[in-house]
Amino acid sequence: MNLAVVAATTARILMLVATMMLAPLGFAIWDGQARTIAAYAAALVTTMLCSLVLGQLGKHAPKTLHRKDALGSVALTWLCLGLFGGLPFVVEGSILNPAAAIFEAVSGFTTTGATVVSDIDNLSRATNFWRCQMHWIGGMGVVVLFVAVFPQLGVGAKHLFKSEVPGPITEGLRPRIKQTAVALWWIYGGLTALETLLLVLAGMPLFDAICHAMSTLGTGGFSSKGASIGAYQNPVVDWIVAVFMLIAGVNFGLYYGLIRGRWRDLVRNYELRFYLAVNVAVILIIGFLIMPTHANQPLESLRAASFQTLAVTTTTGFMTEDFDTYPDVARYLLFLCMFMGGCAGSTAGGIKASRVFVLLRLAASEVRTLLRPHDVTTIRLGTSTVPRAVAYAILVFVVTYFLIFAVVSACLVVMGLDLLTAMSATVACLSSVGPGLAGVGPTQNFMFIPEAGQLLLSFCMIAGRLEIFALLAVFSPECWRR
Amino acid sequence: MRTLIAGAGDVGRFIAERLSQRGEVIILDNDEHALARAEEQLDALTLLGDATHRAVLRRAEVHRADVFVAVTRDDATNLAAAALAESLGADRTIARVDDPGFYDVESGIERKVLGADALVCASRLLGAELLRRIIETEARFVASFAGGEVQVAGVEVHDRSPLIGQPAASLRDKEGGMAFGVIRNGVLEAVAEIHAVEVGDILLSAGETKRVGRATWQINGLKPGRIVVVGGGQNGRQLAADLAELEFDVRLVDTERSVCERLARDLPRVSILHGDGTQLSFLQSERIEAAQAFVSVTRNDEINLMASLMARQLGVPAAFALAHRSGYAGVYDELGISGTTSSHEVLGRAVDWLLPGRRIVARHRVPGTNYEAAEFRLTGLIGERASLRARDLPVSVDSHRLGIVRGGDLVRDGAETFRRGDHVLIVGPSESLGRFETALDRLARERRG
Repeated sequence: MNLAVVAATTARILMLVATMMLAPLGFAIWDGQARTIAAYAAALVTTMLCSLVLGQLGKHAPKTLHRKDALGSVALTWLCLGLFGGLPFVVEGSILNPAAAIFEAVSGFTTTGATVVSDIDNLSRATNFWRCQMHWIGGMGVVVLFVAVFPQLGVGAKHLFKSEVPGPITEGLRPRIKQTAVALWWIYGGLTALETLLLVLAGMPLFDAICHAMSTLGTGGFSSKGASIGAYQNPVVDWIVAVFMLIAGVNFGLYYGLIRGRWRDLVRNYELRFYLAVNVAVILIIGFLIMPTHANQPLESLRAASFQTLAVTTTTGFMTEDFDTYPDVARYLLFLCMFMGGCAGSTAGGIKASRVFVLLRLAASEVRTLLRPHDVTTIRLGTSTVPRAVAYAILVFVVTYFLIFAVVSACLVVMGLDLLTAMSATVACLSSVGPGLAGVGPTQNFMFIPEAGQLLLSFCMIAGRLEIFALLAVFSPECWRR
Repeated sequence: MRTLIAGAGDVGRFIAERLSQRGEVIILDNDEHALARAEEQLDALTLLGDATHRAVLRRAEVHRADVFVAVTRDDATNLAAAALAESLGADRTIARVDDPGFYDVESGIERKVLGADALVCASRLLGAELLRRIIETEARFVASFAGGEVQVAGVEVHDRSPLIGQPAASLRDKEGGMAFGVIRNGVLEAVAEIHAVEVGDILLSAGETKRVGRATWQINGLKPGRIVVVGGGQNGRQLAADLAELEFDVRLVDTERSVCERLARDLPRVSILHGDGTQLSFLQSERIEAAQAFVSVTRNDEINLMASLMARQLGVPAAFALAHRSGYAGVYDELGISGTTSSHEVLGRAVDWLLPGRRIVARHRVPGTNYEAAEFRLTGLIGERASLRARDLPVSVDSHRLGIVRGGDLVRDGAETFRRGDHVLIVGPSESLGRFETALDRLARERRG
């Protein structure tokens, strides 16, 4: 890794992040809250200063950006995002503990939506906007945004893009990675604007609509209300948000294809079909199970079940009611869904539907081989086959995912958390869902977790967002060799 | 410019890298490992699939492609893919066909065949490039134009030259005069003005590679010597045939007995040797040290490297090697090999030449002078209504028009009218060439009206 290249690249990305801080600063100035103005001004200036220092360090860096440099830049960027993103919370006083502030910022940028704030309704508008804006930037990816707006970086841009959007089976949308990044951001921005408009039409105030639209499309989960979407008690709002959560959980490349008239791709996409099938099945089962607590009203049960299920499977983490009070079977199903997450190429986290699907096919193929040892089998996905190397990579990813899950939840148990809280907190952070079960359920928060636990979960959130290996690679000595 | 490339091998990746600086590039291949390498190295979209399948080409949106280049290892695949791409709406199609037997022309580039706009032959282009390298051993400089098919060479007249005291125009072959200019005391003079060639004059010749080679050897009255070529594949066979035509004493070496027998049948003017070009005893027994140049063109980079190194060690003044993998050329230079070339290099240059681009296609400085030779595109100057003759070009008095670059040849007739796809080759002081470029742009604007 060439540290000068990493410094130069990170400096440019941080300048972009600093620019993003102008929006909450604007809200703080509008509302005339001196401490909030100071908080966001301080964060903006500190980020810019850090960017300038890094820029100086990388002044004579070569123009070529190799894979290792890209991994280093992305890892350093995500580390800085936690630090600088959390700074305004501490200066403003909304979160006093620095570890908790880092947790909140990392949760924001990784679109996890797990919060340490107990009194969200009393947060300043600037802070609420910043929390949701972090989701929005982190959802599509700050590095992807950088690739979209920064002049040509050549193949280096591709390495940066792939370090932040690893995905199991990725297909470019356009010949150049910059064009792909621009197309993705246009689709993302367009969908955000559409949801905002629909929410306003459904009666939500404009500020709330913008915040929730950013949070939904980023599959984040931060809300400007303590009771999340449930605060509006509006079925139309529930359905709009649910539909957009589903939209955000689907591969954005399919929308690009749709715009280009390739609607058949959407219909034929094996991952989407599997993902929808899982969601429909879970919604129907949970809807049936919660019917007694919803006055035996099928539509009401369906609405609640759809919203909560999609909030979990898309790893958004909004709520209209506390799913931790559901029957055990429903809670268990939701717990399992936290592992899977959304589709590859979406803003959702988790193992991803395509990986789960390939694993299921792989298991079936192994069983078949056991019964008929001379059979030569392939893993087919529609008309294409999954190469053995890809299947192997998926297997390794899932094993590593569960290894991290096991180690981190064990650490949390050692720190004094109960088993269900520790396990659900870990998977909620690793899959970027946000709320878990028991102590970290939808109506609870993560403030009670010890500082070490919060930092450990912050690591989980970044690892989950970067799909593990991009982050783990930075810890390898090989990555640091020039 | 949107380019679709079929074939993600060394050649495909090399061309993709060059073209990705000019626009969008999509690479197609049915080898996922090759695609993975392309994905890693290039800012280009990769698609898995067979380029001869219409569904695959449609998925790659071939109808939106400005250029389709088929450069897989298989001639038939390339031809079929290019024909399909053309039928599906690609603007311009280029296919690599390495079998020289397929061509109607002598050059390595043939236009308008089977629906493809151009066919490029790696073995012929490699043959021309290696021949250029061999000519370079006897010349002050040899610069390539027309995608590697036309050379401009400058040869210093030595005291044993039969041309001393003779008019420069006496340098002729059966096709006519071979010299187009003489550099005397750093000034370019027209051939007609040099009535007596002197020692130290630099005679400039231009044209198809073999013709320039013949002129180079004639200028100083040299007898073509012995050249050893290792590797009896298509590249070796082509080079040996070209060298034999120039009356070199060519020794072609191959390890396969059956290949040698076939070569002996097909190349009667070449000595075919059955042996291992990397074996010291074999090279010594064949008196390799007596060779003027040694060229290794097998399929294997390591064999080419070792054979060339051994030839150098045995005292051959110039050893050249084919380097299939990109990035090897620098290593060969470090090790003392006189020069390298590769399929991807020559095909990349040919594809570049065939595609639309800047007005100046290539320019090379004449060493020791402030003259440059440059090839100009005539974009916007040749239309269906308006014709343009070579002599009508606004060439300044201190520059010389060498001819029209047409296909792989140089047409010298000043009365000749330019055709679509023609280029013009000019030599002159750098500043005059700059003025010529501006004048061509102005002329193109005027013609557009």
